[in-house]
Amino acid sequence: MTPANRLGNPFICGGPVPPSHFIGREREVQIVFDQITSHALGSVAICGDRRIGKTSLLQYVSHPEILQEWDLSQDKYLFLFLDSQSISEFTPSRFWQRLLTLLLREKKGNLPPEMIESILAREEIGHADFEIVLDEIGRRDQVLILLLDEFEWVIRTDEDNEPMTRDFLSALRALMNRTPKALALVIATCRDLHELCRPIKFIGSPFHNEFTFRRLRPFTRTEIDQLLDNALDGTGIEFTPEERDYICSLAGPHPLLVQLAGSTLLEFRMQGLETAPNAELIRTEFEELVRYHLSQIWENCSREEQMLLTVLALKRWAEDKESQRTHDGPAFERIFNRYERTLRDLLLRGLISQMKKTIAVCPATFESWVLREIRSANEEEFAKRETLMFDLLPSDEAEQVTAVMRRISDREDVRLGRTDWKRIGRYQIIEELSRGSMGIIYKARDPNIARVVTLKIMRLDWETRSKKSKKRFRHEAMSAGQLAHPNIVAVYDADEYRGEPFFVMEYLEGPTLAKVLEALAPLPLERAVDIALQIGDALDYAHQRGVIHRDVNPSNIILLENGQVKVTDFGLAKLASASSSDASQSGVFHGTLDYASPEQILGLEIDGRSDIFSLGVILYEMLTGQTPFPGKHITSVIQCLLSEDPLPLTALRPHLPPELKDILCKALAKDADQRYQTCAELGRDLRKMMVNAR
Amino acid sequence: MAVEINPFWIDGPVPPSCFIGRRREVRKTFSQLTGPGQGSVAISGSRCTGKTSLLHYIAAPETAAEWDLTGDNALISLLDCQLVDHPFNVTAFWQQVLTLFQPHLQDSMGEKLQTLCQQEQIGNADFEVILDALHQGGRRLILLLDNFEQLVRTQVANETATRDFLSQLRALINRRPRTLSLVVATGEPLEELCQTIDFGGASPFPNSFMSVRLKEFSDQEVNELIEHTLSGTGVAFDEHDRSHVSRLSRGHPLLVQLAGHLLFEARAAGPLTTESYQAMEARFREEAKIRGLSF
Repeated sequence: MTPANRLGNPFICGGPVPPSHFIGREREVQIVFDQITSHALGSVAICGDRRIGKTSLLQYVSHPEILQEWDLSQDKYLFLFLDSQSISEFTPSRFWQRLLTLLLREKKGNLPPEMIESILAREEIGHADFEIVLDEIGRRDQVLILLLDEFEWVIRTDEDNEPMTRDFLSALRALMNRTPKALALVIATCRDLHELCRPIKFIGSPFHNEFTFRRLRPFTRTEIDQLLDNALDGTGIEFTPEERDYICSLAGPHPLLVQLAGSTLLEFRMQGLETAPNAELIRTEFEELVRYHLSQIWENCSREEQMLLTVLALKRWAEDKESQRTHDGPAFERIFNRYERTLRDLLLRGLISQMKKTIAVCPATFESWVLREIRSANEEEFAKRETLMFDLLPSDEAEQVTAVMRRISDREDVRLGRTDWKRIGRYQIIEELSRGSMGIIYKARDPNIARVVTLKIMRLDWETRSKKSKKRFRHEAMSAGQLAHPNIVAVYDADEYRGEPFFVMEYLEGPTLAKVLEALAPLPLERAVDIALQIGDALDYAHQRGVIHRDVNPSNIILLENGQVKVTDFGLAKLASASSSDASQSGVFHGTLDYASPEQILGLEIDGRSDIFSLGVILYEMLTGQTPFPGKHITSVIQCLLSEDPLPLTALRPHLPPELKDILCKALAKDADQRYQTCAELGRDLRKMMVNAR
Repeated sequence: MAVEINPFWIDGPVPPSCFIGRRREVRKTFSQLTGPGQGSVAISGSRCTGKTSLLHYIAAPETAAEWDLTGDNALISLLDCQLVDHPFNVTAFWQQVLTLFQPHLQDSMGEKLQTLCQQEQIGNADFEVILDALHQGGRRLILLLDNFEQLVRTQVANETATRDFLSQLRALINRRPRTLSLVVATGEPLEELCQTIDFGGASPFPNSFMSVRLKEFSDQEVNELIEHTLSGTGVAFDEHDRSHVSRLSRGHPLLVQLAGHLLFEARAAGPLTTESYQAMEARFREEAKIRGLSF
């Protein structure tokens, strides 16, 4: 190592600032001294975010040199600093014992030691014992100023400790109000004293009524400059105005963050490195250094504040990165208008900044942290963040906000089709087969048993991410997994990957009925009926086991080379719609419209008869080459489906057996009660018709 | 070729005289300890990245003296928390700490310590007496606690005791006048280690520390280590050797030493061939595995 005479980094990156380096807070210092020198001998409750400088302030106002500066005689004013956290397993007796020990050791006010010692000799010390000491202090025309740091340590509001806390605080309050007044408190807490004391059921006046409140605000620019000047004094290094601006942009007005930013920048300067070319490196180091402190600031924010900070960060991200999504703007503005008061509080705490009409999370490092936390959140944490939005915002606004949350995180991969995954869960992706509104289908390989499978990863709406929906997903997967029928695609596995549910199914080679119809419709009668019968068998088997398909359509029917028909995707439509009632409420329909039953369209409760209607539509289409309720627009399809009869078969294909008309009429009845009640019934009629036709 | 003692250090912490690199970490630590805040430092780093070596280096009188910390103004002592009696109790911890300092204190103070050590219970108030006495003598205490995770027991049964202990420790280091500074070393960063501890709304323990994370050595540090270690041995590593060490170790301090150690051995045995490099690499992997390091 190089020789001595080392230049240390003078910034203070942990623990309180010594009085010699204390900056600003003139107003707060004034309030403390005004209160304790007033005739009323007032008490002060200081609160403020973590690491904002509460301890530094308490240590500053009790420092002998400062008291001298304020002409406060130390013979009269006995300042006693006590960090409440230093009391092991807090009890009032231990508190009084600790105070007396300090008084004795620090020889404050030359109080008779034997008096204190005699009290300390007692096994239990109560406030009445301390009153004796206060009497002596009052008699000597002295005043005891207790500076109690980390005061939340003594405010225990759980059921077991609440009575003890209430009695202790009431006693403390009574001691403060005794005449002649001889005791004043200056307490420091992170949360507001009112808020901390709210759960306590005081019998008389609440403890917090006795205090003048003061919240420690972040630093002004002048105070930041003072802090930097003070730290650099004697180092021979100066920060340029640009470097100071850079520190402010990194740290905002929070004193500790300024210290850390100053320290990081100085480290570079001490190594002879210029700031401008290394700005990004400095930022990276600073971000690493402050990650924990930012998490502390976040923890100290209320749910409303956390929601707003998230929305603000997301808004800026959306504006910067995807200016095309300006339609999110009005929703964000509505949120800000509704939470104007909370925004004002955040502004006062220096956690947001306002430039003209633009508000943003402050500092930029905090904004990056908020976004990074969303990106790196695991499923549980992400769901928590989503829940926060839906708890506090109307659902349309929450949906818009959570949509942005998804876009900035990996969770958007499926939604936007940006998937270049090599592996999903344990499954190795071989190739993408297709993609649709409900998800992406892959050909994959299960390495455990070297089996080729079909893997379907789903795109889901937010509702499906709730715990309830995850339970439903598992339930649906389990139901589908229990279906073992020659006409049903076997489901092997179901799980989640990056929050998206996926199903692993039997891999089949063969076109879908949709593809076949596209090329060959209408189909020969025998083939169409055979396909319909096989679908019917599959549905009947599933219905008997309480499983409804909900989205029977030609894309879900696979035709194998040997003539076998396989129905796939049992239960997936239900999963996608979160629940039938949710779907009706939100007006979202997740089946395939052309094949949906009237009750499905209307969002009513459905049963197996809905699938029978869909099967009727497929049969009609196989025979005629068109769906029975065609329309150019969704509304015309729905209108047709709900109120009109299908075009008669004979008009489209005159040579079909006449019984088919009745069979299709019954399968496509708008009223489920008038429909075939089971697929077996429909199958019986179809088979009978075929016998007659031969 | 004469048999040389292999100068690379592959077992246990590196002695201060052989300590290389970590300039920024050392400066940050001493700046925090000796700066106006006289604060505390939490060093973290994964296995065998040199935390203990760094603590030994900081505690070495020669190093401390460079930062104007001498026996006249500071008592610096290192305690490996793995040596703290189990099951852990606060009194036993303080007794062990006090025993460490006893030889460095004057007689009058030594007596005080002895009395204190015999007490059934030692709490903050007792320790404060010692700190105040030290302060009166113009000195302060710098306590280096290695393997600090041994004392952060977060299981349900111990959580309250740990919370109380850490809270008291925190109160001690934040006292004015500042007479106690800690330098703790842990594998996980201190804030992660304490994440599950509920400090009852009061300040969490890690808040009072500046954190220093030990990462892999830079190429410059690797070269410096090789240079320093080989000096006076008569053996030199050429460019190819150095890049071989860098490639194998990826800057991990212990692995740099290990790769250097094996290469030194091979070089001492005679000229190196492709085969001997390969054999050395195979041995390196084995030895690294034995030390529980994956790469």
